[in-house]
Amino acid sequence: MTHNFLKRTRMRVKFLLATCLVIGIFMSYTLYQGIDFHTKTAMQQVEESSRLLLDNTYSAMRFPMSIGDSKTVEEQLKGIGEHNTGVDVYITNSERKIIYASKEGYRHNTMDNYLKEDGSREALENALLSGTEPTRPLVDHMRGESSMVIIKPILNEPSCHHCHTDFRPVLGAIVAKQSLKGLFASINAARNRLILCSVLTLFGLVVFIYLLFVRLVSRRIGALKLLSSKVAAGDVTVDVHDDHEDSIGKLTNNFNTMIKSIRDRIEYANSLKLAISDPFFTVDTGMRVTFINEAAVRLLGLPADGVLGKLCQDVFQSDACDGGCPVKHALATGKATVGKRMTLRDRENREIPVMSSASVLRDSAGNILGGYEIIRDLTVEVAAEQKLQSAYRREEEAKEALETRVRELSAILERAAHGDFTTRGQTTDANSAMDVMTRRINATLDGMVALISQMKEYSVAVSSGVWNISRENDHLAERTQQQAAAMEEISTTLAQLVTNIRENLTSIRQVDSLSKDAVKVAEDGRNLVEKTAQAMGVMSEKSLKIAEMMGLINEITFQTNLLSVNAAVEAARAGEQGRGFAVVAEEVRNLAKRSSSSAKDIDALVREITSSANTAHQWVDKVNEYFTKIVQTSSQVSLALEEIKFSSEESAAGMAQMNKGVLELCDVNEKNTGFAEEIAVEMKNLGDTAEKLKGTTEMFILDSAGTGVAQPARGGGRLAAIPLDLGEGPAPRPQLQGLPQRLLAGVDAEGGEHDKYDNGFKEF
Amino acid sequence: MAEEMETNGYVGSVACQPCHEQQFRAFHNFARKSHSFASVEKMAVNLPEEKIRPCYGCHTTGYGKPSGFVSPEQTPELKNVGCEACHGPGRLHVKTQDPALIRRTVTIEVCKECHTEERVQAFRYKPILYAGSH
Repeated sequence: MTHNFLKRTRMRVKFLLATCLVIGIFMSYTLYQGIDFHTKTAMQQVEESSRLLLDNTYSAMRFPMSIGDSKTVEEQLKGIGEHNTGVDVYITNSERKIIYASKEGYRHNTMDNYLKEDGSREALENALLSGTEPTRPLVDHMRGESSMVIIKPILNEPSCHHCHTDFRPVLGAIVAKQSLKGLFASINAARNRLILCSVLTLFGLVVFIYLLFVRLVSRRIGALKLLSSKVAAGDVTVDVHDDHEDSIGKLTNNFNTMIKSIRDRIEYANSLKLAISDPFFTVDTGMRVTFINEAAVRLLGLPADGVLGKLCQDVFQSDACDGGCPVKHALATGKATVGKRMTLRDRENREIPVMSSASVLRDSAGNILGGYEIIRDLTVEVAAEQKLQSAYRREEEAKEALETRVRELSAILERAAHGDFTTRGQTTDANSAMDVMTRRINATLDGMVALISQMKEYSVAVSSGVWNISRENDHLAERTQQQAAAMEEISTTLAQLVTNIRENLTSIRQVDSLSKDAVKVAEDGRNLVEKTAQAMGVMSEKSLKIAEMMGLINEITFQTNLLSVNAAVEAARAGEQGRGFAVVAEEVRNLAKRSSSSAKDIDALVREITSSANTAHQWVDKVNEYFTKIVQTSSQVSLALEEIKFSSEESAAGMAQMNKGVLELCDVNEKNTGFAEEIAVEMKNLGDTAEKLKGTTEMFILDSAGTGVAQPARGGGRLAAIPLDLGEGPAPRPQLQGLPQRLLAGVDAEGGEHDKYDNGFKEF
Repeated sequence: MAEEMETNGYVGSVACQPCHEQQFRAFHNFARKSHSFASVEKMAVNLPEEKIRPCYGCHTTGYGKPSGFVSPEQTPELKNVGCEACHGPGRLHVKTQDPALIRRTVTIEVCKECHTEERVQAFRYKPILYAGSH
C-alpha cells in the first residue's frame, strides 16, 4: 500500500513528506535530548546544591553534637529551615526516628512519614545499615509534590563514642529534602518554549527546503520530463539547455547529448536509406509501402506520390507476389533473403528482370517492425549474359579445332618417338600460331632425320676405328708384358748385386776391424821393443859397472895372493909349527889364483855381454823402426779400407736406388698393363656402343631413300625439310648421350658385331 | 568506726534537701549534674545493658560502691549525679548531722575522677568547684 502510494504520489510531495519525516525525527530527537539534558542538568544542580547544603549542615552540626550541645544543633537546623525555602533537613537516629529537624513539627516522628517512595526508604535503610550514601539522587513524591532526597549517613566516629558508645557503626543519617516544584515548573516552561521554537523551526526549514527543492530540482526535472515526453512521442527536435554544474544539469546535458545522438542516428539511417542507389522500399508488417526511393519509382515508372500506404503487390506487380516474395519470406522467418531473381512489371506492363534482397526491420527489443527490399535491375546483365554465352560457344568451337590439330601433331610426335619420321603436320593458309608451331615441328623432325642419317654413317666409321684401336692396344699390352718381364729380371739382378755389395761391405768391415787390431798389436810390439831397448841400455850400464867391480876384485885377488905369499914366508920361518899355516897359505894363494882367473873370465864375459848388449840395442832400434812403419802402414791400410767401405755403402745405396727405380718402372709397367686392359674394356664398350648406335640408327624409318625428306601426315603438299645448323668443318661426332634412353635400351636385344670384339677382349 | 562503716551509705540528694534547701534547689535547678541520667536514658535506646553500664560511673551516684547506684528501678534516688557524688555517702551525716561525717570540702581531685583531661577537652565540662551551682 505504501509502495503504491509512493508510486502514485508526485515527486515534490514525496520529497516534502520525506523532509518532514527526517527533520521531524531529527528535531524530535534533538528536542528530547535537549529537554533531557536540561532536566538532568537542573536535577544535577539541585542535587549539588542539596548536597552542599547537607554537607554544610553536617559540618555545622558536627561540633555541637560532639560536645552534646543539642540546643545549638536545634537552633542551627531551625535557621536552615527559616533561610532555605523548600528545603527540609532531618537528622534521624538509627531507628529512622527524627531527632532534629529544620522544622519543629517534624521532630520525634519517624522518617517514614516524610519519605513515601520505597526507593527513598530503601536508600535510607541501606545508608543506616551500611553507612554508604545513595549513588544517585532520589526523587520522592508526596502529596503531589516532588522532592529531591539526599541522604548522608552519620558514622560513629571515636568522638561520638562517649555518648553513643561504639556499639553501632552508623549513628543515624542526615536527610535533605528539597522541593522540585519550582524546578519542574521552570523545566516545563523551558520545554514548552523549546517545543514551540522547534515546531516553528521545523516548519520554516521544511518550507525553505521545499522551495529550494522546487526551484533546484522539481522544476528542472519537470521540464526534462516534458521534453522526454515529446521525445517519447517521436519528436526528437527538442533542445534543452541547463548551465548548472550539478547532477541535474549534467543529466540535462546528457539528455541533450542523447537526443542529439538519436537525431544523428536517425539522420544516419536516413542517409543510408537515401544513399542506396538501387531501387529500395520498405513495408510494414501489413505489406503496405512505408518508403520508396526515387530509383524504384523510376524503374517502375510510378507516379511521384500516392505510392506510400498502398499494398506492395499493387505497386510492383511481380510474379513473386503470389509466391516466393522475399519480403514475405523475411517477415515470416525473420531471416534475410539474398539474390532472389524475379520479374517486375512497370506501368506499361513491360517485364523487368531483377534480383532482389530483402530483410526485416526490428526495433531495439528485436520485434519486427516491417521489411525492406533492395532491387537490382538486371536488364543490362541479362543482355551481357546472352552475349557472353554466344562468345562462349564460339570459343568452344575454336577450342575443338585447336584440340584436333593438337591431336594430329601429338600423333606425329608419337610416331616420331617410335622412330617413324615419315609423317609431317599439315598447315593452313591462316598462318595462325598453330601453323607456325606445326612448321617448327616439321622442321625439327627434318633436322632429326638429317642427324640420324649422319649418325648412321659415323657409327660405321667409329666401329672400324674402335676395332683398330683395340687391336693396337692388344699389341701394346703384349709389349708391355714383355717389358715387365725384362724389368723383373733387371730387378732380380740388381737385388743380387746389392746383396753381394752388402756382403763385401761386411768383409771390408771385418778387415778394417782386423787391420785396426794389427795396428794396435804393432803399437804394443813397438812399445815392447822400446822397453827392451831400455832394458838393453840398463844391462849395458850394469855390465860396465860389473867390469869396474871386476878390477876391484882383481886388486883384492892380488892383495890376497900377496898375503898368501907373506903367510907362506912366515910359515916357513915358523918351521914345523907353521906347516899347517903354510898349507893354509897355500890354499889361500890357490884361491887367489882361482879368483883372479875367474875374475878375468868374468871380465871377458862382461865385456862380451856389453858388446852383445850394444849390438842388441841397435837391433832393437831397427825393430822399433820397423814396428813404426808397420803401424803407419796398418793405419794407411785401415784408411783405405774405410774409403772402400764408404764406396761400397754408396754403391749399395745406389744399387738400392736403382732397384727401387726398377721396381717403380715395374709398377708403372704394371699400371700400363692395367690401363691397357681398361682401354681394351672401354674400347669393347665403345665398340658395343658404336654397334648399338648403328643398330639404333637403323631402326629409324626415315624414308625410302634415307635422304631426310619426310612425307606429310596427311596427303597434301610436301614440306621442305629445314636442315639443322650443324656448323662448319669436319663432320660432327655423333653424340650418344642426347639419344632417348629408351632407344639405347632397345638396341641391346639385337646383338650386332659384339662377338667379334668379345673374342679380342678375352685375350686380355 | 566499724559501726560507721557499716551504717554509712548513699541516701540520695533528696535526703540533703531538708537541711540544705538552698543548695539543693540551686543544685537541682542549675547544675546539669542533677539531670545527668537523662543523657543516659536518651542514648540508651536499643543499646545493650553492657554498653550502658559503663555510663553509670559518672552519670549516677555511687555506682559500683556499697549502697551506691544499682539500677534506675532499684535505686531511683541515685540515678543522677547527686550531692554524695562529690561529698561522699551521707547516711551517717544525715542521721547524725555531724559535719565530720561528711566530706565538707571537696578537692579538685574528686572532680577529676569523672572530669578527666580528655573529657574536658572533648566536652568542655570543666570542674567548677566554686561556681554558683550550689
